[in-house]
Amino acid sequence: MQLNKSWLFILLLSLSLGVDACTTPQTVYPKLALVDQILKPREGFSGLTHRTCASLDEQGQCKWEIEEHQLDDASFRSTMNTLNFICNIGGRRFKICLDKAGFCRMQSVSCGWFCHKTVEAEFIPISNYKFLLDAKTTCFNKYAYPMGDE
Amino acid sequence: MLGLIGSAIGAVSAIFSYLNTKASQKYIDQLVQLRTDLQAEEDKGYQSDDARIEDLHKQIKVIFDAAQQELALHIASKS
Repeated sequence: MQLNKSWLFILLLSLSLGVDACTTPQTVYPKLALVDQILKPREGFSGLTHRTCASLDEQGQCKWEIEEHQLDDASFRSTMNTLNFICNIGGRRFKICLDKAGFCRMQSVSCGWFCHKTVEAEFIPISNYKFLLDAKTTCFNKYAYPMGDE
Repeated sequence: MLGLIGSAIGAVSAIFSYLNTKASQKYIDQLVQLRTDLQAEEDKGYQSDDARIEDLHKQIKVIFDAAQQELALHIASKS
């Protein structure tokens, strides 16, 4: 009987710790201005998204609010570049293309003596969404957040 | 990001100044040049060469690692 009570005590203690872990109070954060947002693709969406803990429910858990931005919006693409956004796609640096819905990697090439021009070296369309998810694509203002493992 | 790198470069430069060796001065000079090159490339905005910027960051990281190693060796030699 004594052994059964010990096991019961351990079981109840474990359950209470588990319940506490599940209901740890979370923090509501105010919605950030676009320049401070970290944008990424998410399952079930087709554009770049930003997620915030908008409010808490009765158990103190976040009610997540997800804002989505579509890259086929030319004014959004222009804004992202004006705000100095860059994107980390699989550890490589891309920008949001100005002229099309996707991500561009630019390269400086020689065009003769003392002549250099910048060309588009690589393009990943936003429609290649699975790849962007697999590559943990993250876009952010280059002055606000570090790139990669720095 | 450049602000963070600037602060880190400052810290590394301080380490090298403290060590005050010929190798340290060479590292400081390299860091200054890399930061200048990085700033120049970043200033091109959309037209910046992304692979070059990645490469500059990697070079800066190599020097950071070298600074940590130099400091560790210096501390070990003093103890």
